[in-house]
Amino acid sequence: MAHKKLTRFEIKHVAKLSNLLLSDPELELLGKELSETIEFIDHLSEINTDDTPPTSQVGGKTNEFREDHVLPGLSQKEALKNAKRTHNGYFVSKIQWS
Amino acid sequence: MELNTLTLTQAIEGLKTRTFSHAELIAACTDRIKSVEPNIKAFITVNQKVTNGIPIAVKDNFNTNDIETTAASDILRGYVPPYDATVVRKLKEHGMMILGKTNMDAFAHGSSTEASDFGATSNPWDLERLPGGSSGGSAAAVIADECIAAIGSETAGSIRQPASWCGVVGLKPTYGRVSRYGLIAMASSTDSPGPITKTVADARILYEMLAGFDPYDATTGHQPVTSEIINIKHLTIGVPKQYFRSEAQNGVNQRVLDAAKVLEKLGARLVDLSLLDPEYAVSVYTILQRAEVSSNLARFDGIRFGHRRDQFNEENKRRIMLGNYTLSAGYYDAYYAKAQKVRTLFINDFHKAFDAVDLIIGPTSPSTALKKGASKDHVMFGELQDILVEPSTIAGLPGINLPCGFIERLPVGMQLIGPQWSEDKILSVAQMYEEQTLWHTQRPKL
Repeated sequence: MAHKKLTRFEIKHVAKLSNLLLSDPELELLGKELSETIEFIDHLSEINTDDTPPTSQVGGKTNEFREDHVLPGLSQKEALKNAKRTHNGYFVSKIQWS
Repeated sequence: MELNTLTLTQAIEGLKTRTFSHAELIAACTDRIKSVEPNIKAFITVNQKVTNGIPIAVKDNFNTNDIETTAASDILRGYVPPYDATVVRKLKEHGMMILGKTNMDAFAHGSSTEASDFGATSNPWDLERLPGGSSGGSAAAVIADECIAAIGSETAGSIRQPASWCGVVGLKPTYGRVSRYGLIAMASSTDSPGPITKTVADARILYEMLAGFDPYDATTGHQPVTSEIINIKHLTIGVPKQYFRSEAQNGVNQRVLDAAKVLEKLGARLVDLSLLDPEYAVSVYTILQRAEVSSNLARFDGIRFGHRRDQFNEENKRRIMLGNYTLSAGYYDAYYAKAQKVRTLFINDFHKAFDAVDLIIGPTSPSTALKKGASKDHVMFGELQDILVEPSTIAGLPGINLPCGFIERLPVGMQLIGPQWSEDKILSVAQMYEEQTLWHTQRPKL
């Protein structure tokens, strides 16, 4: 499998993917802990799965359809009730740059 | 007899015959809470607004309309949902009331209830010990007689393991048997709500109340929920050698083998079984659970509800990070895809086993309740505690924990695992075992 010790660059990259702002000590600690966990899970590579399909679900269900009717949902007031900031009936978020 | 000590079966009967009122039953539980909670800390919130219904404690990761719901995380402190989870709605429709919301590892990330942002819960059998987790608050509240029964959720062990450590009954239904709608998601492919109760009969009542298809959760099955009692005399029970591990605490394996002998005396046939090493299931689960966590917790952006992402605790961050790592470019095949393939092997292994046996018996946990602090600085603590329940979890199978003895005044739990949708068989055998023993009647001195 992949290498076991995560580099600082990798940890920072994963933190970014995770939308987590981590302090230097946190990066240090999480890097160490993640490396330990990855070392543990590495033993899966001992198992031959060449002819084994991956599981996608355990319930055995196919599609679940329903009639396309509009059903009652949350009111605007209810939907906004836990938001920190609202404006004119909308959630307010930071500006998103893509 | 104090009304808070009643089983659900007794409470229903007493209310029907008007031996006591709802108000008296609720008052008995709230009085008990006042007296023991300073030591146990099973509840995050106690519902002060209830006047009617049978008092049920609900794990704090189920959305409850107008009652604060935190999943024991700082990020959701103060969050008051505008709707009920399907489980909560069904409880209310059947005359149950939400007595309070119980403590858990934050976002159910753990097996100790020590990773709660609201402080640890104590095991009522020994206040210096852990109740297990993540549904530790629910299990502790039941054995401390703070409620009539409780609801937990299990992703891998979170009902059965705390039930084992607290000496109560915990049923983890088949994945898809009980709706996940309104349950704060941990790992969506294994999350299963279920009852934690004083007796098997109570577990059956709550299970039948909650089970069934829900249009709000497309993964729920259409299989009918029956109330069949199955005779143990025709059943074969497998004893898998891989579940009686040499590193288990001294005495645990023997208690469970003794329980198997009770089942044999009742007419079941015991056969030796060989299953895949559960240690591989730990790794499969670790990869899949973290991957699903990283995706499910992405919704906590502090915009629509909750606080900022820096309020996640260390365990939450660790899991989100590992999940994103295993799903990231270059590692997906090595970890996530590999884990889903090994998961298939576990599912096939159980299929093969259930061709030969009806149910499987084993210890629920390799040990009795551990001391507080045991989970600290062990990144794999939860997974290794749950080693004996993780194989059945990743295969979506139902299982139950039953008290089957004590070691130094701490309860030992055994589990019965069955094929998908075999809850009737599991509950029938569990019931027959319980009728032969008195373990479930034991209570800690508080």
